[in-house]
Amino acid sequence: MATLDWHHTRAGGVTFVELLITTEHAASVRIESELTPVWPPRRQGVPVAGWEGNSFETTVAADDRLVVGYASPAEPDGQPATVESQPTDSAGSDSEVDPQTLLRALGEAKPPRDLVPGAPRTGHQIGERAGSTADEQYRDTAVSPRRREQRTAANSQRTAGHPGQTDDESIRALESWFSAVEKRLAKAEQLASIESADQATAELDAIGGIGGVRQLQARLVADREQLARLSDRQQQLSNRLETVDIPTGVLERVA
Amino acid sequence: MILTVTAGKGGVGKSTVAYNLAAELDAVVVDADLGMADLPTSRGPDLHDVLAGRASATEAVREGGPVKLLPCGRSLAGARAADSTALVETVQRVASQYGRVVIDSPAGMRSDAGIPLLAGDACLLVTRPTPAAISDAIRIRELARVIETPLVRVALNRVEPEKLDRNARDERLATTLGAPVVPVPESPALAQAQQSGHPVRSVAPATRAVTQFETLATAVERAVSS
Repeated sequence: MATLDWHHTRAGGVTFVELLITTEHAASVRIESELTPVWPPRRQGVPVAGWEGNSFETTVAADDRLVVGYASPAEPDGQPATVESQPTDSAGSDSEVDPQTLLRALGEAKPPRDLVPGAPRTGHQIGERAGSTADEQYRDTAVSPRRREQRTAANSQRTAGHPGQTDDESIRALESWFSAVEKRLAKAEQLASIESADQATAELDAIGGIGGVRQLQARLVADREQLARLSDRQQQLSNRLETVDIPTGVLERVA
Repeated sequence: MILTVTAGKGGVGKSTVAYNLAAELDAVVVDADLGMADLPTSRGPDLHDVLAGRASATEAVREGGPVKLLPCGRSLAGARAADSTALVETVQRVASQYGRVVIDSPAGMRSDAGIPLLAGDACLLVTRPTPAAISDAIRIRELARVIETPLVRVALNRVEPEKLDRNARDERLATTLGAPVVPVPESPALAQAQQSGHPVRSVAPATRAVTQFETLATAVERAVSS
């Protein structure tokens, strides 16, 4: 039998929940949050092992206690979570390796968000990042003032709306997606033109059985919705482009 | 059959070995270096798109080249948007369609090197006869051991041709890393073939490099049932 003590605070529109679970015997416990959605603690960008949606599962050794913390944007209303427990012979025995476990253990290898053109900034500058190293500071101080000015000028030119890498990459991603849709359509048209049982069997083998056909169908539905959204957006942008007129003359006089 | 070609250290010729092995095995080579891809790409969906859910794994496979290839994108935004944990399922889908897959894994010891090891039925370790390369090879070997991916062979790459048949060196290294060593010679023909996007067999079939890749491929075939 597990006992639950809880505590929560609310700040900045976020509820911070702290749970303390104790058991007399070794037990596997399942905690279900009453507050939804749950923002679980993350390691290397992925939820800590045991979190799945609004629930958290783990094991607690005999006479041990478990402290669990998480956050939620929901307003607290009484007890924030419920706990169920089942006795186990030994706690903490499962250790199957999966991609998420590796990601937590070895660390994410993605480029930092700040380096990606067009990505939203994280709210602080590179030099202020928690992971910023002494090397970065030395590198900055080693740059001559003239070089730094040149770099600053180049940066401001880049951020001043120059149609650079960001647009290119967005267009490339869009082209890749269009190519993928074309391939899916070609496959679907091939399936639609089946005329014999032998041909149907061969096509089913090629696509990975009826599961593959259903997957293709689901993707085509998603493609249709995405294309409809793109079409709406294209129409809206075209209308706005038709009507927009920058008062260049007035601005030139003011500048 | 899924074989992961790994190294620990960068610049030891991992992509060259992966590409030529895929040619020998008639496999699809998957360029899994999400941040610094090496193998040639072309217009169309790539691994970044697959891992971001924009395309299916088999849609991104290029069948027209000398070796079937699932290329990787080059952009930072693509690398950032890709979900590296989806690689295992992606590679399994390619294997179920094409039979054989060789993964060209990135250098390093982070999750982008660990997840390809998890995806592989077995791995092949590429290293060079230098202390730095071998010490990194020992580290990635340990990681493969923890993940429980068996090591089939060690390819000792870019060995000077006159030092190719040194059994004592190979045996020492085999004892250290726990798998037989196959040396691959330094070869201008191999480098040129790689630069032009061809396996060395199609450019210089009567070279020692080709026989060494054959040896590696046969060992892989024997060790991993397709």
